[in-house]
Amino acid sequence: MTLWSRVRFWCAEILRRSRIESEMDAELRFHIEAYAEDLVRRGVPRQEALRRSRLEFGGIEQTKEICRDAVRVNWIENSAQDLRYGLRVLRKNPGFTAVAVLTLALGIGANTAIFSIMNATLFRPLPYPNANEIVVVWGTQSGVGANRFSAPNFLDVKDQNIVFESVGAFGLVDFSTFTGLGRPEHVQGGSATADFFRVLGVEPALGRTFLPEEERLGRDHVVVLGNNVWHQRFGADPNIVGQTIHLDSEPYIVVGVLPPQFQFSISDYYRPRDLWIPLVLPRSESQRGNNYLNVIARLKLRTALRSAQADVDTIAARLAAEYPKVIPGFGMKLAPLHEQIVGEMRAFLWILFGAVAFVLLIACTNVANLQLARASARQKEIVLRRALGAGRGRIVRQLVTESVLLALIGAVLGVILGAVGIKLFAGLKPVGALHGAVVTIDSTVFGFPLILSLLTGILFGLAPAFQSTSIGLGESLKQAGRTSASAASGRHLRKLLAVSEVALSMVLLIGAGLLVRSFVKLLDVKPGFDTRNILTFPIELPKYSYPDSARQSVFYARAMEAVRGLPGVTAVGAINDLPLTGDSDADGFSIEGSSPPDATNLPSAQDRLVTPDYFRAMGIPLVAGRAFTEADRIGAPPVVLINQSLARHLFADKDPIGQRLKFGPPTSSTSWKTIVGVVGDVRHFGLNIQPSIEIYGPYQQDSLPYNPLNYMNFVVRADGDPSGLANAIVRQIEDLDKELPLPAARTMEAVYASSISARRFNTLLLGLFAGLALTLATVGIYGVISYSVARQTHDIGVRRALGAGHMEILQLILREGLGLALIGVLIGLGGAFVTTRVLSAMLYEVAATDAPTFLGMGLILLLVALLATYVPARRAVTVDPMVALRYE
Amino acid sequence: MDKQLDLLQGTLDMLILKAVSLGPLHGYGILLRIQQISKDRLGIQQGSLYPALYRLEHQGWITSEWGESDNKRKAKYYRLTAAGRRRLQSETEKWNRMADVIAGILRTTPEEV
Repeated sequence: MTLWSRVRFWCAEILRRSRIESEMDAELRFHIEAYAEDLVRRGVPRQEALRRSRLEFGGIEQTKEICRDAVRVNWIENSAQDLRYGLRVLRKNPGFTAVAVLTLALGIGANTAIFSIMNATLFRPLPYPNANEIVVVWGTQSGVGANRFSAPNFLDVKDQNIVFESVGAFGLVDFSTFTGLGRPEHVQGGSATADFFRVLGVEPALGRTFLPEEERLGRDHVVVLGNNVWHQRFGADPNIVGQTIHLDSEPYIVVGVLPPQFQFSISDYYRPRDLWIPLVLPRSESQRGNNYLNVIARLKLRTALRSAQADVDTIAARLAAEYPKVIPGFGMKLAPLHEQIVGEMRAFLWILFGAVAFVLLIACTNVANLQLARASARQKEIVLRRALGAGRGRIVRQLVTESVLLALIGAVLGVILGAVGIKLFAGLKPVGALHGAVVTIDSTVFGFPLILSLLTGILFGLAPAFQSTSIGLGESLKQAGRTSASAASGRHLRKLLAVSEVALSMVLLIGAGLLVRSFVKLLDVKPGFDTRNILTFPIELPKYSYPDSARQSVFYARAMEAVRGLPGVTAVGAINDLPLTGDSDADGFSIEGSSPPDATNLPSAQDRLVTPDYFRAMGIPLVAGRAFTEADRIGAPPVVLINQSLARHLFADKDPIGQRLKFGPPTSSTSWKTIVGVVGDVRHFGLNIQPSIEIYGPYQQDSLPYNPLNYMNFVVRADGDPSGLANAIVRQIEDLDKELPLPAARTMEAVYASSISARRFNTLLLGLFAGLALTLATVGIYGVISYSVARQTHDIGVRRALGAGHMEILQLILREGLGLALIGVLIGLGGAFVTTRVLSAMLYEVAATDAPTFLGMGLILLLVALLATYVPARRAVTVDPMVALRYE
Repeated sequence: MDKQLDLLQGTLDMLILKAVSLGPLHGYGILLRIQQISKDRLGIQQGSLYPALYRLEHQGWITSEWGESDNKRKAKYYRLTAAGRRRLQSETEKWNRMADVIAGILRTTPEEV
């Protein structure tokens, strides 16, 4: 229907309605008068005749109402009427309206925000065609859950399977320098087989993706650019395809550009890449045990995950049987890509969703309570309307219309609040899984608060509406004049609502309390180094200009010297794997004289390369022996440092200094290294993770099994706030090598903060919702008690007149309020005991049923309830008994 | 006068259709006509007449127009439509069949079972 025809329809409807009204009036008047005239003809006096005629006709207004129903003018008319009337009522009670709308807006806003995030991450399909057919293929081996693939294993699976439409492998290639326009930059590259893009169904924005023949050496110097790089580094040049760019000073021909929505990543596992080069796979048996490939596949049409799993199981079993020594117990596990991407986020989002659902329930309860209080004040109006012929259903509809109206206004405000909330949420950059997911309020998300508000409007409107119309007409007419004795059932309902509010907020408070307690415990954890006054920045040396560790270490030595000369710098060191960043390496090792010669069960230690001053710069204490010096270089006796955990676990009461260890079994060809000192433990993997055993090697000695000196993190200790040093440091590095990408410096405090940002975020958010719940519940209790006091004013007056003291009145009211709160708190404690275990994974050294948190939060809630009760109770005490007695 | 019978559920519509089938009538006239034909043996609540009239008109079985009453007053007259006439016929047949069946059942003596 067009707008115009709709307008015409409505006009016609309105005309029809007014015509029907006037005709109905005239017709019924005619009937009554005609009958009266007949009566007059039979000798009845005119006045009496009219009276009898009306009486015998029955209820004129009721008759009209039924007639209107019969010709269906009522429906639209009533809705319009209800709406108009509702708006008028709301306008006339600005205080009530404001409180109710704000309460609902908070509840609906929180729900909208969380729902938008869930919609963007959990519900919206991935930006690939038929994304549900895409699976991640994991290799498993006895003892290792999810592992990568070796090239021969991948090629065998690719050739032998009958369930995949296509299967692609991908990996990481970091290029130290990338020369496009302007200064060289560091880029994060990905490598992929041609089929990788086929699995994802990518349509390039320009050019093409890889051809199968480009997976061979010699043909592999081609590159597909990500859309961001294309924009930022090449100004979105439409003629980029066919041009040559340099990666680590080797030429690559651009063959294509990916579309903007392509942002392939798997949280905590595979970050988005800037550009892609072909993955060259050697079909060499010596590589069978070298697992470094990631694999994704697209299932053939109408192939169930289960049957695909069965097929790869068969292949895996065959391979495991064929190569029992290299890949013992080899298996494969298929996991839907969507599952992998949302993985950990899902649980947390559902917890948040539960929390905001609680908040909304509390908000609804509050508004229902407000409505109930108002409904009893409106009892007179309702009774009058019923007496004038309004049916019960009609009045319930009127009241529900009002509630829905309230909820809709609340929803509009709530969506605005939600949008602000999402902005804040995105600004906090919380969890890895949000990578690439654009959180917006789209039509789905908009429909959510709409439906929510309609439901909530009906939910909190229906109970009070039925409540206030349930009393029989005669009884309510009798009651209408008085306010002191309202229906007992209404009182019970209000109390029930207050109790459930308290119980719901109790659960939320305890949940938030547990997270806060964990977080505080986490903040108390010493990371093992002094986070203050340290600036850190990574340096990556391109292989083409620094091909060996000798040249690399020369650069580092010169860089450290240059930085050390800056004013305010007290120590400069460097390490390859910086704590709290997730970088790590680990190897098995043996201790001279105590390790058995067989290689199968070696202890594994974290191993890191450091410069001599690293420990001083970080403030890691040297517990025994000596630190490294510049003399610990190739040619000098090989030395290592160990941490306290290693000393404690493997040397117990023996002095480790002077003992020797080597990587691999005692029989391996590597050299024995002398332990020269013990340093303090560092929480390398996160504040919540116990230190592992660690071995440090001097950066100039090649003493570890793997000595990748091309990448080091500098740590610079200053005698004050270090952030001012950043520019000077960048200039020093630039002076040393113009070709290096500029280092991005950040304080160690920032590294520390970002390592707990996800936890901080969770705690903050749940805390916020719990605070919201507490506020709403307080308002709720306050409302119930104030209303109860107002209702009992007469009773209180009587008591006062009969000699009751202030304390007695105060006690009476406090007892009522606290009684409600106590029941709510007890139910809430029970509820929390059952539900908080969903938080277990997010807690640190706090049990999900932590008694102090339960008791403390219960106490807080009771105190708040006491306060909310005390205010109206004071009012009751100060009432003048004479006024109270007259109070109606 | 015999005691008045209460109207059976659903029969008022049929009576109205019958009443207006004999010629256009206003609401009050319909009431009088039914009372006259039934020789005052049926009691009709006056108020209940109008919702029935509105319903029948809404269903298209009767139609109305404003005219002048005997005492020169404006009144709304109802007349039967073609659809209403068919409706009255089928209702009448249904009623007669039903009445026969019910009467037959009530007449039944123990020997006939």
